[in-house]
Amino acid sequence: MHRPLILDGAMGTMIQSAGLKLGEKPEIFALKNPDAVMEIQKEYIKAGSDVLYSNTFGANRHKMQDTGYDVPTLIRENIDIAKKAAQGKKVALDIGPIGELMAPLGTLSFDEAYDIFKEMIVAGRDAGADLVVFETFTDLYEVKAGVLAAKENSNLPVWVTMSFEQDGRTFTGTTVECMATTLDALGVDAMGINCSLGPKEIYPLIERMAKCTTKPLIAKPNAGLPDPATGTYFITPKDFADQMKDYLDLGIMAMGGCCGTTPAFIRELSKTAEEGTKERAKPKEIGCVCSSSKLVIFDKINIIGEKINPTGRKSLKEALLSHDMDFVMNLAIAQADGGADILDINVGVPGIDESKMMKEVVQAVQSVVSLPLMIDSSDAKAIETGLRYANGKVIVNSVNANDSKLKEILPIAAKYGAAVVGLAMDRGIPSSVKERMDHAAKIRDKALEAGIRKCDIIIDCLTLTISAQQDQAIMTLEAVHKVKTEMGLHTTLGVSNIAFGLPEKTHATAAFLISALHAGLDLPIVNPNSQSIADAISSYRAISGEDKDCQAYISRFAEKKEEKVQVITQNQGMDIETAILKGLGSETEKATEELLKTMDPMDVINTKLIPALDIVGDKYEKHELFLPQLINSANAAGKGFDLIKKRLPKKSGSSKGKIIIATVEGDIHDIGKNIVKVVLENYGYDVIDLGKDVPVQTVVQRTIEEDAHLVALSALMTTTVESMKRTIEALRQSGHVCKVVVGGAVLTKEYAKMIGADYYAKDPKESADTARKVLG
Amino acid sequence: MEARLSDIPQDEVLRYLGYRGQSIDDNLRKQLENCIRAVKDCTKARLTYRILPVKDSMIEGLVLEGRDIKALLEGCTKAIAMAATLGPEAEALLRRTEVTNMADAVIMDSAQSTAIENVCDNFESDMRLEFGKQGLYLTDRYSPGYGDLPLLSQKAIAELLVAEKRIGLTVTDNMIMIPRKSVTCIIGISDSPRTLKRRGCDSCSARENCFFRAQGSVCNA
Repeated sequence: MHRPLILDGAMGTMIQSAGLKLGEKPEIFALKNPDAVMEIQKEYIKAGSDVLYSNTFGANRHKMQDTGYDVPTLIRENIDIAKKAAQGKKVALDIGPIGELMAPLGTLSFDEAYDIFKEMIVAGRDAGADLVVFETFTDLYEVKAGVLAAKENSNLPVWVTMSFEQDGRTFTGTTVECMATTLDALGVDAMGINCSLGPKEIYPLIERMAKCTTKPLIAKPNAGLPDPATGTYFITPKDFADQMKDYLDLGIMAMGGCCGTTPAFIRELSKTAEEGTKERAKPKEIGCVCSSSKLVIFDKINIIGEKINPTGRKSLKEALLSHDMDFVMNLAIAQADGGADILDINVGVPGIDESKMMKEVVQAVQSVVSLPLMIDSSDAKAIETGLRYANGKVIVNSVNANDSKLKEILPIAAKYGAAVVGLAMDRGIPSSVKERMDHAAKIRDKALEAGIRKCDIIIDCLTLTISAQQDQAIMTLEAVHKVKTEMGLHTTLGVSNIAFGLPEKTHATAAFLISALHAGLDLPIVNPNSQSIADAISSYRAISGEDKDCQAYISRFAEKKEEKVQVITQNQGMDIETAILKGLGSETEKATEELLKTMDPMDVINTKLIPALDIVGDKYEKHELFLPQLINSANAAGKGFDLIKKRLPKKSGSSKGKIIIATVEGDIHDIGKNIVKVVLENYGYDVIDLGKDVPVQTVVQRTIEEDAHLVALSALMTTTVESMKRTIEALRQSGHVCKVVVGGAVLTKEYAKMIGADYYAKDPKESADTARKVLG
Repeated sequence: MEARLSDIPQDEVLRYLGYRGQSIDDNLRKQLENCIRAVKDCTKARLTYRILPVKDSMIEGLVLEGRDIKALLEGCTKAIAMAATLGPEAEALLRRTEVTNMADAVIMDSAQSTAIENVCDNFESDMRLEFGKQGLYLTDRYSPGYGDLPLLSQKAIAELLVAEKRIGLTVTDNMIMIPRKSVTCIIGISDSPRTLKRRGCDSCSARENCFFRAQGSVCNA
């Protein structure tokens, strides 16, 4: 039994009654009225607080812009005030959310967030703060940037508390479990929950958190739930303190109050704390990874999707080289839909800046799927980049038993708290079970030494192809079994290797997969979109009992039967024009296939696809079709184009020219831009999409780099048409010869002319017309 | 008052899509239904509000520019300031669908616009009912961007409501609300009955460049 630390209560409400005006910033108020703020903090010390949070919650560069005050000064002065009030008790540098949402939801980048936090932390460290507290966060990615900034720029202890809704998720979807897993991995010194809810509502959430981490816990609840109409809180200090008693049984490290609490609350809380806490029940360590919203525990078969790996995949290689993230994102979504639990990310293409590419791909993938990631590279720098920019806790793939490799990779994995795949090999390929076991044991020992938990160590016993080394397959299976049962480690295998070089690979792959699962493979790396692989795993889950009462198996195959029936009824031939008009992708594909038997591919494009799209455009103009129909048709035609592109030799001129497209700086509305992009692509243009909120200089630079002669700009707000104008001016000044077409809700033909655009397109059809005028 | 999404009527969704009676085949009908269902299933609407005193047609603690809001609040004793959002879940659905199927994304975008309107409508009618019981009357719902109430007011309303902390809503320097499917509004509370006008083109700031008006129709918002 020992007394938990007592934190302070609310600052906001107290400072308002001390004279803070509406809209005035508390951090600045303190500079003008240091005594008023010190008085509040002294009251908290008198009430029993062991730790004071400095009045620096919003003292960041973003919130303080245009105030005339700089961050270092605000932090130094406010820490000074707190230190004087603390009378020897601890002072925490308090850091709240930046106040701008991070990409992809908002526009704030991870690196910018890091810099903003770094400025605060350096100032707090220099001003003599005893620790750093991040509180009231709802975005785990923002927290990650903050924690890294704190750990990389100071030696101070780091505490993090986030705010949840009653269902245990933050506004951005982070669960209590994902928060705990991620922050535990990042090595914070304590974590917990503050604000948003009262003690009663937070308790079950803290209970959940306690099961996912061995780190000390913090609770700083509001004074119950406020009256929504007035925002006032009702519970008394005594009730609050009574409700906090349960937290003592959990073995809480520190507790205090948030919105609505006052020194009276803290006084009562201090009395409650005298009872002392129980010993914390330490949770069992379980191997796991997570994204910001999805936790994957290694207690069953988890499928790792293999498809984001350019080795042997020409189209992905090309997509990476041309930064075509749509292609990559589609691979990610398809695998997630196919049942992958984790996604492997490998961007190793010769001649590429792998580290830079890793960042781009990781951020693109996690913007569209919520699966945890496995960072797959042999380059230490690319691995570290992947670990840094991945949200959540990831797996590193891989190290091997080679000393220099272990020395290079393990500290990086340990820094970010990643799980690690160890290849059971040194320089050469092992030829026996024992060799594999020896390597595995060495990797385990070194990983444990580096501070990686045993449950986060995953051994890859190496799949070698049976067409070359037939004797090895059985050894691999035996090694998997032994690593699992004798060493108690998790196992992974790149299953698909087994049948490399053989015809009809899926049969051998599925058979090997099932054998390996039975031997103890729990993290198979496979193609989840392969029917036979997915069927095999589903079947094995039913056989092993993991799929209770075969429910998943039944629903999977019962649904399949229905689909088959539908396919048969729809399988009627259709001419290409009708198929495109109706917006039917697979019918268009079939019709294209049929035409290609007798026609030249370019002729199919020019005499079939484009004319069909023209009819669609015409009907759209006459209001015979409306927007979804236009896009469905464009998508259908796109299927035909894709098929033809595959048949045409590269650079045969199937592209009708390059177009740069972007939503201008400051604007984040990109649906209109994306519609235009789909339509233009499906007219056969090579569209280079720069995304949204694109800086003026980026548009200019990429236009010149790509030697594009048509630039399409989109803006939805009157407030951002100004940056459209600046973008056009900069393009003109660069001297690069190009036409500019603009579009967006607030634009008109006259407006477009006024800002210097060459063309105005009121809809996607007009964009395509403009492209034809300019590029042919 | 919880945020309540009760219905996403298909005809409203079609209206946002610029539909003008084109024939809709079974495939498209199914596509519409699926997209609307996806939006319903993934949306987690949130709202926060405050009831504030009004003096001389001005809300205490909230500076709002323009004559129109003053006219709205004339004779009111109190006012409701509200912010609602469909949340990041809705935005993530759209982001993902834009990658896989743009036509679906366009339909979902319209479905989400319909959904946030529905949430606001429900809030308004719930409030009307509640204050009606106390013998009080509500004005129309008025949002920044209507009439001469500047978009800038979005920030003031959001800050007053601490919307970032309460519902995860922020307003950028360019007055864009994130998550994008969000609304801020003011409703006046009065002791005497108010003439409600159906909000029409006359009070809409988008009337000059309106897509619907250009086609000779109205959006019915």
